[in-house]
Amino acid sequence: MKKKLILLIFICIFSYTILPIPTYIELNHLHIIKTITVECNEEYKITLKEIIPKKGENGIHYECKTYQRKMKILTKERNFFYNDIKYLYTNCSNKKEIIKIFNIHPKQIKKIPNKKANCNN
Amino acid sequence: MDLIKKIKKQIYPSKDYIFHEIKIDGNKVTFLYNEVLADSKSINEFILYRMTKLNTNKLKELENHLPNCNTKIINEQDIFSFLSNGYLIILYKKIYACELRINLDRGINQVKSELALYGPKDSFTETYNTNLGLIRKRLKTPFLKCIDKVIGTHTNTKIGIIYVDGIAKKDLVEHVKKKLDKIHIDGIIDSSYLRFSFEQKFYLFPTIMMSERPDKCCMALLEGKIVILVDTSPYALILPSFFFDYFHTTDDYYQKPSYTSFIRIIRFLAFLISIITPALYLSVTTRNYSLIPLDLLLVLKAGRTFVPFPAYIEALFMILCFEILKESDFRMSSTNGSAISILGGLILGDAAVAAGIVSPIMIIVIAISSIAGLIFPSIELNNALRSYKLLFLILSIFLGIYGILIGTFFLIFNICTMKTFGYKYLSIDKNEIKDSIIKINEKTKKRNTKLTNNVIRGKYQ
Repeated sequence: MKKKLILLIFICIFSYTILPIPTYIELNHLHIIKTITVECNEEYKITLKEIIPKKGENGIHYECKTYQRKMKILTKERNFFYNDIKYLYTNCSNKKEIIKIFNIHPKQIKKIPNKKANCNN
Repeated sequence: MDLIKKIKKQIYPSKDYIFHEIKIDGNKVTFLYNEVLADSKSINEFILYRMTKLNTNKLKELENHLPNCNTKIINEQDIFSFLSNGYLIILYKKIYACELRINLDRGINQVKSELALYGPKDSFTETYNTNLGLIRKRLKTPFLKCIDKVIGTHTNTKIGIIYVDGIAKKDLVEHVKKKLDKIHIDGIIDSSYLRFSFEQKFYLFPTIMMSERPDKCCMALLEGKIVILVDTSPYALILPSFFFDYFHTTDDYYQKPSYTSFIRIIRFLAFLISIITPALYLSVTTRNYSLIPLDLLLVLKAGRTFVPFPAYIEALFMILCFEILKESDFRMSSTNGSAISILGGLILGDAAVAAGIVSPIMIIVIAISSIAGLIFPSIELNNALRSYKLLFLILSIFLGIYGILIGTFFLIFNICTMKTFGYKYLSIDKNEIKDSIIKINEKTKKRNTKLTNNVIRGKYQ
């Protein structure tokens, strides 16, 4: 059993260094992003729409919160979860690069709408 | 006279040893017994009454004139062993031991820890002879053998190795005998003491099954296994026991095979649920969010919004709470036990959620995992499940879903490499596979070839 335990510890340490283990983020600190808008001008202007589930007397209802970032080089933030993004709104030409950086699989890539979208779309 | 003085010196200051001297035709006869272990009424009414009617000639053949069929001539060094077993010792030229033990048995009660819907309801007691009788009552064959041994320097506990000659392998019987001979211990209070001596130290899973059901022991004996009975213990040891034995109950053999197969699959799922669920929940809510649908993730997040602690602290706290509740429920009487269940399960659980200390989903996860573990009546297996549950939880904290995969690999590797009395813990032969996780109804039932050379049931070699 001692040998087996040593083997287990070795495998764990080995896996920790080799395998792409996702970062530990508590669920209540995680921002689940529904849509992402990337505007390309002189720099990148990113608008992220987070969906926040709230527990009420009538069950769960959803609220939205918008974050805006301006950056020169596109980077992915740690506490944001982009996997379930359905729509990417962008006017940039490097769409493939944006998809690769954010590691997203949008169903549709759309042009940036003129008016602000509500929580349901 | 020297012997009596010596005995009195040894038993001083205990008052429960009774000395009584009578004179028959001028010959002095001494009676010695323990009043709490021997039946004083029978001694007075039968033995003393009969003795007073003897003369010197009859005293010479005393063993033939005692109204008891179990009278032995013993040695000086065996006096205390017989006294402790409730014998009356008669000292006259020789030392006679006459069995007159009082019944300190609580009687044969219903099974409490291994409940079954069908089948016999009687269970073992603390008396060796009663337990052996419950087995002999079912297996009325001269091939049922019982080898007696005495272990324990101070307890002198009677141990019985029971097997069916012609079914159990002789090598296995010899192996068990040798192992028992090697045990040198102060005392054996329960059969668990022997289990610890037999089992490997670092094995988490049990390799010896404990049972209070005589019918289960008889089934095991007919499979070629060995049953060990220990005086003063209501639990018999069944050995060797294999991994899949813990998924079987006596009920399985009293019901239709299709229903048995279904229940066994449920048990196997419960085994996996018990180990994996908390770790899986932790990994999908802290590292591997993409493994679950968005809608479910949002529901989980809604439940955890106001919880101030990290998920792993919450999980460990809930496991700890459940273990405390379970332990207090075991130790308390049934009246207090139900109060603890209400207080713990309803009030504390509800209050903890309302206070925002734990999320309701975490309570569900820990409850499912713990209840799934309770499907197995074996406490040893429950302990193993608890250990693996914590191991998986720790692995998932650091490695997420990879931790669960590594844990699963370790679990399978560990079970595959375990051995019980020289047999592989997980090995399944072609006959056994028909009665493992699933049960197939067959006209000719065959035994496990690992444990016996006499494979066809109903035939003796």
